Amino acid sequence: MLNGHVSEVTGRPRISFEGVERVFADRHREVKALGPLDLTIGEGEFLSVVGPSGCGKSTLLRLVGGLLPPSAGRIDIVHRDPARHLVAMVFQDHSVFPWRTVAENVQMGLDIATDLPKAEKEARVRHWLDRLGLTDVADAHPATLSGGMRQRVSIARALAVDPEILLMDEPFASLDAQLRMLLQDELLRLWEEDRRTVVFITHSIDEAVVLGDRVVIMGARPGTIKASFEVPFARPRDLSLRGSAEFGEVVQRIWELLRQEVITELAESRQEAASH
Amino acid sequence: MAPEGAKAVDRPDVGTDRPAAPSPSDGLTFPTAAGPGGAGRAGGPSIVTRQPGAQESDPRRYRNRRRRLEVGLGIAIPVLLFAGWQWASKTGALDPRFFPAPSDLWSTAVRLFQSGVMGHEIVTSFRRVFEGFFMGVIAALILGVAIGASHIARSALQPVIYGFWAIPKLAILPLLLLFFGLSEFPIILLIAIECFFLVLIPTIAAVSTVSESYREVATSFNAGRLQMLRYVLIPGAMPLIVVALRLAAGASVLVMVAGEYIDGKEGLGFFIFNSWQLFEPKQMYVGIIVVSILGTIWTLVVQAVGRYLTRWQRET
Repeated sequence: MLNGHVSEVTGRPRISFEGVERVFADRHREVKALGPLDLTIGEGEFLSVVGPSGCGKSTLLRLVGGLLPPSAGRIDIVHRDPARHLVAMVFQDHSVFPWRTVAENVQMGLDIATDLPKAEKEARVRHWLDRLGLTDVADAHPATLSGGMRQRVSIARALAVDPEILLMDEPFASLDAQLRMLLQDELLRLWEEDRRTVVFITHSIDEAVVLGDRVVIMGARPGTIKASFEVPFARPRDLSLRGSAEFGEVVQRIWELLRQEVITELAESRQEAASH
Repeated sequence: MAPEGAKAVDRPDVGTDRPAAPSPSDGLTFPTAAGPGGAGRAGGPSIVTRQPGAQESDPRRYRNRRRRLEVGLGIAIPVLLFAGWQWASKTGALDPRFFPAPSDLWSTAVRLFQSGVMGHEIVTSFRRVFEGFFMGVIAALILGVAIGASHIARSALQPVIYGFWAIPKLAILPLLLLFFGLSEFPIILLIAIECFFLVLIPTIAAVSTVSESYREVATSFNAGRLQMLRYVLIPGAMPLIVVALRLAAGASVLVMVAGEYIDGKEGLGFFIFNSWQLFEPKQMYVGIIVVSILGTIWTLVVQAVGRYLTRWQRET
C-alpha cells in the first residue's frame, strides 16, 4: 500500500484538510465515518475520489460544501473573490425540484444566493440552459424529463452561480452507460473553458481517470486516504482516451489499489451482519 | 383481438389432469393461461402470442367512447335514482309523508328560493363556513410550517397538539357556548378548530419529511431559514397540505350543520333541524340537498385550487 497521505499537488493549494474527522452518532453508538484525513487539493485541480461504498466519499464532499461540520480537525478553503459564490454542489439524483420548471431550477441558486437584477439572472440561466442543451425544455417540469436531462439541470444549476469550486457527488451514477459517457464528455469540455477546481466523487475508476488530474483512493471504516494517483494524460482530453493501452493500465493499477479495500469492506460488512 | 389471435397456437390445459383432452371451458380459462405471467405447464412447447386489442388499434376513438360512457354513467345513475324515487313515492311504494316525491321537493325548493328564505340561510351558513375555514387554515399553516421546520418546536409541541386533537371537537361546543353565549361565534370557532387540526397535523408531518436531498441543495446555496421555507419546505409539503385542505373543506360544512343544529337561530343546519321540529319533511329534504350540493361545490373549488398549487405533479 502506498503511503500517500500527503500528495503532490498541481499548483497552489486551494483546499486543505488537516486531521479531519467526522463522527455520526445515533441513539445506540457512535460511528467514525471519516478520518483522520489529510489532503490538499490544488488550485484549478480536477480531483477524482474513488472508494468502496460507505467509505465516506460523500461525507468528505459535504464537509467541503459546508453541509456538515467536521467533528475534529480543520478544512481551509481559499476564497479568492468573496463576491463570488465559493462552492456549488451537483448531487447524485433526486435533487432537481419537481415543483420548479427547468429554467426555474437553474435559476434557483441565483435567487437564493445573489441579488443580481432579474435580467442578469435570466441571461445567465439562458446561457447555461443553452450550454447544457436544455433550451427546448426550459419551461417543462422535471417529471416529464429523462434522468439524463435532470442531471443536466442539476449541473446547470450549480454552474449558474459561477462558483469558484464545483463539488460533484456521483452525478452520473444513476445514468445508463452510454448517457454517462456523453455527459462525461460534456463535462470535460465545460471544464476546459474555465478550469475551475472540481472535486468529483465517483465509484467508477474509469470515470475518475477520464476526468481527473489526480485520483484519490479511499479506504473504508473509517474513511481515510489509501493512495493518491497522478493521472498522466494530457489535456484537453476526450473520450477516445478510453481506447488507449495506457488508459487500461492506469485503470488496472488503481483497481489493484482499490481491490483490497473493497474486499476488506465486504468482509467487515458480512461480519457485522453476522453479529446482529 | 388477442384471445383469438393466440388461441390457435396455445392450448390452454392449465389445471387439468388430462393435458391431452380439450377442456370444455377452453375459451374461458384461456385468458389466465395467456396472462403476463405465462404459467408453466406440462406438455410440449407452445407459442404465446401478444397482439394489439381493440383499444390499441384505434386509441383515440376508444378513448372518446370510454369518456362518453363515463360521463353518461355519471349523469344516468343519479337520474335513474331520482326517477325510481319519484315512481316509488307516487305509487305509494314509499310513504310519501316521509319520502316526498322529487317533483314535490322541486316546487318546495322553488317556493323557498323565491321567498328569499333559502338564500338567506345559505349566505348565513356559508359565511360562517368561510370565516371558520380561513381562520383555522391560516393559523394551522403558519404554525404547522413553523413547527415542522424546527426539531425543537416539534419535540416541545407535538404531545400537546395530539392531546388536543384527541378531544372530540363537537363535545366542546357547549363549553364554547358557555364562554361566548348563544351567538354565531361559537359555531365559527368550532369550524376553525376542526379545520385547524385537520390541516396542522399533516402540515407538520409534510414539512418535517421533505427530502434531505432538496434541503441540501438549498443549504449548498447558503439559503437562510426563510429561504429554506420559501424555496424548499413549503412547495415540498404542498401535495399533502392540499389533501388536508380538501378534508378541512368537507369538515367545515359538516361542523357548520352540526353546530347550527344546537346553536341555531338561522342557517342551513338550523333550517333542517327546525323543519324536523315543525314536521316539514319536504323542507328538510330541500335543506339537505342544498347543503350537499353547495358542500360538494365548495370542496371541488378547494380541490381545484389545490390542483393548481401542485400542477407540477404528474397525475397517473
